[in-house]
Amino acid sequence: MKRRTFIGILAGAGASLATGTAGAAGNHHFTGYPDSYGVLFDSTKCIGCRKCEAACNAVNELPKPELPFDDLSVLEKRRRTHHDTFTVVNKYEYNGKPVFRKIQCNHCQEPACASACFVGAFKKEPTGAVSYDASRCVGCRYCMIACPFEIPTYEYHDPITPRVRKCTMCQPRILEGKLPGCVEACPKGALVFGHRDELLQIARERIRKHPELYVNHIYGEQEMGGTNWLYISGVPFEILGMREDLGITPAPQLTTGALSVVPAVVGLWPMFLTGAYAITKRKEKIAAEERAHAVQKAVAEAEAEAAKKLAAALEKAEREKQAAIDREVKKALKEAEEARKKAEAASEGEE
Amino acid sequence: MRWVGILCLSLGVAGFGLNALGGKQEGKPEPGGAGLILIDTLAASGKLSYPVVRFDHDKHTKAVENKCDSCHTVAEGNKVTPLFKRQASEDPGRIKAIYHDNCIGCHQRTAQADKKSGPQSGECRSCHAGPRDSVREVIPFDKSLHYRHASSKMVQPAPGQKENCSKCHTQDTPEKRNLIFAKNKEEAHTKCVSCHLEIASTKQPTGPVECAGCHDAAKRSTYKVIADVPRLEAGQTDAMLLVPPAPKSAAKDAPRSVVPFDHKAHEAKVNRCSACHHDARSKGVPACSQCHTPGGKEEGAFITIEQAMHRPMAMESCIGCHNAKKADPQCAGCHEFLGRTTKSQEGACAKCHVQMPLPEGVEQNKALRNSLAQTILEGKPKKDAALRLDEIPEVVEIGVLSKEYQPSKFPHRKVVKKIAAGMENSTLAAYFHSSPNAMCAGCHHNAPASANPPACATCHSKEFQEVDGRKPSLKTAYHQQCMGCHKHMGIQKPADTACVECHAKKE
Repeated sequence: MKRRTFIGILAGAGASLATGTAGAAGNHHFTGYPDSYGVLFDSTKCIGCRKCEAACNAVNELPKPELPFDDLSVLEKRRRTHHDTFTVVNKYEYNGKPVFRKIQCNHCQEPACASACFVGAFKKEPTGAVSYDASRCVGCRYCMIACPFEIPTYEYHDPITPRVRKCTMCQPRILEGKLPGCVEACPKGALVFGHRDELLQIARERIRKHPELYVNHIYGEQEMGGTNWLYISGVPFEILGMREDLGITPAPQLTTGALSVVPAVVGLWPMFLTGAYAITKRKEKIAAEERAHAVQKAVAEAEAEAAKKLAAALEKAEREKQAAIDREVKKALKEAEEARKKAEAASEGEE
Repeated sequence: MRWVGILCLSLGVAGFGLNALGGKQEGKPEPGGAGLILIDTLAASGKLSYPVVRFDHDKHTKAVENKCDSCHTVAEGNKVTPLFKRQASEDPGRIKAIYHDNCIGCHQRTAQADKKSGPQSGECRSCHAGPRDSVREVIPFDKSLHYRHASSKMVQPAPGQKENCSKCHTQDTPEKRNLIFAKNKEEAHTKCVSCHLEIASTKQPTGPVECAGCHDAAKRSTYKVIADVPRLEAGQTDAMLLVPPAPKSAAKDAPRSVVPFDHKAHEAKVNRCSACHHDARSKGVPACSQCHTPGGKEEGAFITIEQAMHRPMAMESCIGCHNAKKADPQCAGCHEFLGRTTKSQEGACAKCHVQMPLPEGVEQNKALRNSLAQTILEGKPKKDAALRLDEIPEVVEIGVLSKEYQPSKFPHRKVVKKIAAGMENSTLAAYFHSSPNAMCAGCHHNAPASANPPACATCHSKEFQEVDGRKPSLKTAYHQQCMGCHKHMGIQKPADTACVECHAKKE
């Protein structure tokens, strides 16, 4: 390898590393919009009446379920969110007592769904909600893979205009100055709506005042970089089927390094392919030229050969012709000579 | 190709990492029975080369058919030494030999006699199996148990003594008697077990000799409990005046914040003296202030006298124990919420503390102090003021929020009666509920106690107000109050989710 190319390679590697770290550092921790809203769910107050589910169904104009909302037998099964169910309440058991937990989108401060979405259909709004824009969505469902809480769902039954569906935190209602549907419907105050930092204060206060009632942890304060939906509970969150292994790093931070390369890769493919195409094209062109050249040469050589042969043949023919003429002339001369001699002899005889 | 290798390797490492993070820790093994003893006698004389021995005492007691002398020295008729096959501690080598020879020897002999037997030589780790938790707990020797011993014909006074107390308590004067054996395990085992064995040898009913009999809660719960135990005679007073230390700068005749304490009433309420006298030693019952000084000192674990009396979470403190009483079903309905929602009541301190100047010489004279306390206590109410039930509404219709459901008909008088019944004979309630309206404040909280309390909606707004995130909205307040009270009072019906039981659905 030449010294110059070696240094060139080194410089290239350095540059690519630098851009990588710049990408990661550029994604510094976003601590949420100031004054963004959230909801605090207090599991110790929830009685599992499903009023929140009913309200959610009404305000989002979702199809009515098979069983009415006051049928509590559905709590015997573990349920999850669906394209027509943005929130469900599940029943768990701890020390023989039922405990409940409401499941819906947690509205992460730095949403994994938004970071995985390459068309920007998901957006963290200043209200705190993570909104979804169906007009941008291409239906790749990366958001469903990305979400650590397994929240987004998909309208698989709709072949023409399927959408990703999830809780909206009732952003339209919030902007009108109303409460989210579920919060308004809760008869027990298990759901408190307010500014996120305010809710954290309330949660801390409850835990501090009643250490005997609560587990000393606010779920969502730090999980996955923090969520706008917060939870406090009297039983370990694991019992409520909530993952405690998520860590406190926001999803985008985990993926930004790898994902920062994606645009580069996507951008470089055409160039790379064009280059490859150009090179192959050039090779082909050269080969064709060489071939044409060779053919020409061969043709010229063949022609020259033929001409030579022709000339030789012609010459030979000429020579043979000449020889024949000469022979004929000689013959004629000879015959004439003989005739003359005969005549001379005859004449002599007569005489 | 090389990239594929690196990718696989990194995925493998990542997977391992996840396993390491998300892998569940193995749970602890089930605890052993009360008879499980961990033998680690040699740990005192250096590092053990094998894990400690797990020894099931009860199993062996059964195996040798209650013949204690199979393992223990039994002297003076029935005095059992708790040590194994020896009288006193010896050098470690000797002790090791004693254990190995006797345990393994006995196991071998049992096995040769074609009986079920324990591990023999070469099976070291069958015995040396390492530590394990057990369900054993120190026996709470409560009043009922004490009475059953004290009143038993089998418990005779020690030689040369009049009272049969001397059978267990070596001190002769009541106030010097030690109250707990827990500090001296060996003495307790020698005394209790020997005595039980002695009585057993006369074919009389006796106390347990196996570990579980005293140390297993499940086993103990099957024993007879005497409900009305006569008052214990230990030279204690009926009432006493607790005098907090005075500030140095105070004038001599300045009023002091004293507490008249009804010792007799509390005796009847607690299960055993050590509930309060938690560290009475063989010298008798020391005054609290001996260890719990205003500044705290080492003997009292640096708990000051103020903390000793007021620590909310400690069962030995006044407030702690009273708080625990508030969790009883008949109290919890109100008190769970009072504790949660109201600020500390004005005058709460004055419930116990009386401001008064102490006459000359009273502070130094115990008898004078106690009679003064008696006098003050006699002035305290013994019964809750009667409610004038006819003056309170019978049914209250709650319909301010009525939308989906019809107004709720709340049986106000019935509820009040039920709560009043719960504190009918409670001197504690009578003492602390200062006015007839105190009970009303259970629900009508955060307002001056009166016969005409303000409506809930006065403070709890119907609409959500951001600034009031800490204060429940009206709907929450109603449901929380009713359901919360039902839950804490152990009222099963109606269920929280049975909406129509309280308000019918609108058609």
